Amino acid sequence: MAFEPVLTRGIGELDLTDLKVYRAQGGYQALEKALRELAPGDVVQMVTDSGLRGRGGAGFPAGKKWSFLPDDGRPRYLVCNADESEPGTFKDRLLIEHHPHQLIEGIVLAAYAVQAVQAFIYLRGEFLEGYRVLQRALAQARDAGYVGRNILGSGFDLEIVVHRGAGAYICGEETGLLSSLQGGRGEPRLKPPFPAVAGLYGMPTVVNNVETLSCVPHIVARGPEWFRSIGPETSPGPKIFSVSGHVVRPGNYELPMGVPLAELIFEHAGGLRPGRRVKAVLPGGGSSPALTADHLDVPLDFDSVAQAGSMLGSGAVMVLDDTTCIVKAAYVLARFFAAESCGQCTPCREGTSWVARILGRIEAGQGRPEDLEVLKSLPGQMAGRTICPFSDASVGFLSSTLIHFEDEYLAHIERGACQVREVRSA
Amino acid sequence: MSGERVSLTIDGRAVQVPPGTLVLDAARQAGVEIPVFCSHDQLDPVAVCRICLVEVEGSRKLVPACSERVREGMVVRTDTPQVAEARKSVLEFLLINHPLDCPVCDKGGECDLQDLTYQYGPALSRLADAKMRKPKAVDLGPFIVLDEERCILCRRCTRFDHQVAQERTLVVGQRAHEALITTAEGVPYASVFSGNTIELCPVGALTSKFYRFRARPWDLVRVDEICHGCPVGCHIQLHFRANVEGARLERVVSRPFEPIDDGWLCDRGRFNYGFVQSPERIAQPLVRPLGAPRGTLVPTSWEEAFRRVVGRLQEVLATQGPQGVGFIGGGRLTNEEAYLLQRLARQVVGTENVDHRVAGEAAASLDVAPGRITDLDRAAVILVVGAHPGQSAPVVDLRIRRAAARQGALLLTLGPVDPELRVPHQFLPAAPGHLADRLEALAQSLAGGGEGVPPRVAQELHEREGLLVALWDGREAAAGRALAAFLQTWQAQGREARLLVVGDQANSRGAEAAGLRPDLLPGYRLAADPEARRQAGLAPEPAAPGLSTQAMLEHAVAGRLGFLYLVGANLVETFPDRALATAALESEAFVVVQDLFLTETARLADVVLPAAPFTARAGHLTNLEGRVQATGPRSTDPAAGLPVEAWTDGQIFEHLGEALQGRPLVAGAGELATALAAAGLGSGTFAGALPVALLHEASDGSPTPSGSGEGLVAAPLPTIHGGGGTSRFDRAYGERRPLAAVVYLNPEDAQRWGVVPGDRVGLEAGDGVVEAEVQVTRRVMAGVLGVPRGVPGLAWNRLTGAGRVRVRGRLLEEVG
Ligand SMILES: Cc1cc2nc3c(=O)[nH]c(=O)nc-3n(C[C@H](O)[C@H](O)[C@H](O)COP(=O)(O)O)c2cc1C
Ligand code: SF4
Ligand code: SF4
Ligand code: SF4
Ligand code: FES
Repeated sequence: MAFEPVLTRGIGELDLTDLKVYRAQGGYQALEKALRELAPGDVVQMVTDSGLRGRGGAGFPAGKKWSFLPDDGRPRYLVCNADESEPGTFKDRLLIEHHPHQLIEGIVLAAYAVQAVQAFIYLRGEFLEGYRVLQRALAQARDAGYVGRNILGSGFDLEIVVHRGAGAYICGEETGLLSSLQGGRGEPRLKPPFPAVAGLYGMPTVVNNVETLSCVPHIVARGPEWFRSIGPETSPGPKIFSVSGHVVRPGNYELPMGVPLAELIFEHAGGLRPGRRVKAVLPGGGSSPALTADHLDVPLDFDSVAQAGSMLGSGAVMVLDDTTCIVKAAYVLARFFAAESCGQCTPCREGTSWVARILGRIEAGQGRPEDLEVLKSLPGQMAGRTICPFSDASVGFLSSTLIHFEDEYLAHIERGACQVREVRSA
Repeated sequence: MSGERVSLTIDGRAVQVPPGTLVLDAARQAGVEIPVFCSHDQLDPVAVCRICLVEVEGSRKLVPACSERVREGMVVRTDTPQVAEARKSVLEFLLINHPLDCPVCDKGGECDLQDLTYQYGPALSRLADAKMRKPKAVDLGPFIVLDEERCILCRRCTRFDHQVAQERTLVVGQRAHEALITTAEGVPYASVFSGNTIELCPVGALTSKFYRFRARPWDLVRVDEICHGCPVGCHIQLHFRANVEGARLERVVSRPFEPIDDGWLCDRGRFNYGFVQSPERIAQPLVRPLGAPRGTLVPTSWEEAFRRVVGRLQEVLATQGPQGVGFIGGGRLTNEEAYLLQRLARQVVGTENVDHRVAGEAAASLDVAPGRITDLDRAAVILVVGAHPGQSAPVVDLRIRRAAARQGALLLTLGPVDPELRVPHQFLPAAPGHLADRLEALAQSLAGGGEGVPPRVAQELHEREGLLVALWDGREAAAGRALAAFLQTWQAQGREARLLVVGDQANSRGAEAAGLRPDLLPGYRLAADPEARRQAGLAPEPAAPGLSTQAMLEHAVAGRLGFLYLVGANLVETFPDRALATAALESEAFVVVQDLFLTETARLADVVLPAAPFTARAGHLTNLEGRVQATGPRSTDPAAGLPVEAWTDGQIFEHLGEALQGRPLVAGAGELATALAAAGLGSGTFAGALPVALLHEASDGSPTPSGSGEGLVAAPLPTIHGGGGTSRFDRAYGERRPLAAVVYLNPEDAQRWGVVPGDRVGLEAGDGVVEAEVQVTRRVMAGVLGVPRGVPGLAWNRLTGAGRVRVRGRLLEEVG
């Protein structure tokens, strides 16, 4: 059975930002059905049964997260994580700019399911177009009675507020996001307590990614079994892969979870440029350890990618061909992390900048033999020892390439120059 | 919950601790030391520094001991190679960008980074790149310099500012490796608690402007003391350094004492110490030459000075009798010295004219529901009457902030000016002289009535179960009576009540308990009680009823009091009626002033006796909750290097006593201790308190303008950095303390008088004019002019002593 796009269906052909168009495509029917026929708990159950796992990076089962909220009478909040800042990731932006009503419907459904009193969309600050689209769509949805007081006569109220971030990657981490949303510094905090117990303003809060929430209307409309029928048992459903790097057709590809890496690169993204070979692939954005040409048959789902030694993360597949200087790639990523650490934890704050300085020096041909020793020890000193996984993420690519491509680092240090130039000119 | 225990093992040692204990504290209990930087027992854990990582069985990752709570059966290891490596690694990270200027760093020798590096750190640096540079010697606030390069971003300072002080000035700026400590909007860090961050800082990033480059910790001689800055009585340690000229007091640090200070000090207590070695200290006794006008003083010997004092005293006794002699002051003395002064007055001179009250207050305690500072921790309601705790009992204010912000206490303030409390509260305006009316209404509201009490407040007061703690500034006798009645009503409803009275001076309460009031003998026994008098060795009837401070001043002006002896009392500056104080000092009376500095008052004296500072004496102080605390041992007069011949106040009294009666004032230290114990001032005990019946207007020096009419009523505001003596003559402190000659007006009044914030105005009261800048704030109720006390250049007590105050337009226009 051929896979039909679900989340991106109609994008590029229809103006789905228009409420009428969205409705003509069956939009808001899931919401109508839920408010008419389903109790909040039924919606939670459906999402649990669907096996939907969070698309923001960690792959945590959405239904399970929703059922963690303590039932203690405190107000609850729903927050949509639209901060999409992971290098290589641009799927949420697509959904926001071209399919805002699908997201709004998903938010209202999720809020209904967990009985949230208010929802927020924490939007990456640079997404100005997305902000305008969302505001327009929200106004339409409000006018049509899908958002606001007494939604569709059900007695359920929900307001959705769009909050624009101020340009920090770390605000994508959920506790950093909540702090920023409250007006504090965007800094992750110790967990537990998890946001489900003490989130926004200390209240029980659900944080979900844009893509996660965009799946919800479809699960409600077509049923959990349908969702489960797509992709592997433990990571079911459709998934948008943001493919970038040295492929002929970079872009967003919605495919079933578990699509093999090779199929994504060669059948969907147009393969590599003539004569080029895959050198490394980051399957889950800048935070993910590199896979190599040996891993092309890995199915892209949470568990399989983890088994291969990396992570699916947000599903941002960055392809590097054999013209890529691994040291330079590591340096570019290291600079990003050195600038984006929130700076709380000693290993992360100091480690990220140290790594970047060393890599910068090696890349510039000033490496020393001892540098490799230090570089090899730093990931161990930084990973697993901080408040949030940023620190681990910052050395993912470095540690994997120190294993798979150690010779390139060595060559830089010994010869003071890059090997890859020879490949390029070959 | 008390009995519940969780069992765990740490490095193989079994411990049992209450549930919720941090692994760090459990380890301490097991005798296992875990290094920390960011963790602090008064601050919420953030677990950012990562030096405290330990292994916990079953956990894949290392766990921060400072934030992890114990679990039953937990197995913790701190002695593994992995933990050792993690510590070393964190230290390596902290050091890569650290400037390593230990040789010139104030913290060198007492720096956690140094110590832990020595203990756990790497021996060599693997850094091959240039260190990050950050700003050095950043001027953070009046007392603090920040070195960003030394900062390890442990956030103790910012967490203190947010969580303890409940202010939000100190913040982390930037991010990643560029993160640094700064202030919101770049304003100066001028919190009155700023100095605590210096002590909290585990490295030498935050340094005191006064202590910077002054000493190395190993050169310091440490003396335990009680702070003399205010009646809270925080525990401090004095650090002296000996040099060729003698000992110098180089800094004051805290000596954590949970029941009072939790380890915090205010900036007054911490930084106002330089006066002890000020070159402006009076070096020698001074006398007014016979026939010279007041204000002329020439140095003389102690012998000659005493001869003059004793001679004149005997003359006055001969002509006017003991009623012609008066003693004022004592709130700055120790309990022992206060007792001696009382004894000198009553037993030797035979007068009842003694009063420690120099600022118009009615009482330093009240015998209704006596409270302790820690009562604030469990308060459901806190009622602040007239007091400005942040200014006059600062460290107590920290507890109020905590109770209101973190423990949900309802905080009410009542008075003419809403104190700056930094935490949400409800202000109940009450005009000067009318605090009692508002308190009566509040009491009625407990029974359902209560005119003028906001319904929300009445409702809350009705609903709150549990303890109410009131904090009163001891002003307005009627307010004290009304407050007592309010507390009794509260108690009658089956709810607990406690009262704290904030005395005006550090040992006001001790002075009161030692009998430095015209109506009280030591131990709060009535001066009119013949039995008490007999036991004190006094005649059953006083020759004449004792005079209060105000009455003594009036008698001096009227020529009926020919001898006035002032002890550490700068009445010109502290008494609410400046005209009266000045007139008394300029009267025919012979005036003796015993002080450290040539204050406005001392200048007008006939004899000035140089007193030694607190460092030169030993004894006890009684804090605002009545706790009798031993001051430091007699350490040293740091002015020893200066040509100063000062005597302690006690020595002066003893000498005078002996000179007058031919035998010692007390037979010896033993008798003194017995007498104090009998007065309820035994070391380590809690003093008694003033009977409500003694709250009468006659002894209440606070004048209240009567009648309505045009004009504003001036309400004096205590100011932490203000004062009549030690702060003014402390050059370094005086230059830095944030103090401005500013008066406060309600917006309505500002409009009525046509002034805008920042205007310099003339304030007319009686026939004087005082100049000041105006600030407009809703903290001041309409009809009231808030006037800070103790600000140089602002004679506040010209405005409080002379009826209503009129604002005379903008001064520039008139003058210019
Ligand atoms: C450093 C860091 C950055 C993150 N950035 C994002 C982000 O940009 N968008 C996002 O949805 N989740 C991001 N996350 C994941 C969130 O913390 C959180 O797991 C997610 O929003 C939960 O939603 P989901 O369960 O629907 O995936 C980030 C996590 C980390 C540690
Ligand atoms: S790991 Fe890095 S980004 Fe995460 S909280 Fe710590 S310092 Fe901030
Ligand atoms: S200044 Fe000191 S206390 Fe503040 S964060 Fe830096 S090291 Fe910590
Ligand atoms: S609160 Fe009072 S006793 Fe405590 S440090 Fe400040 S001035 Fe000294
Ligand atoms: S002391 Fe535990 S992380 Fe700092």
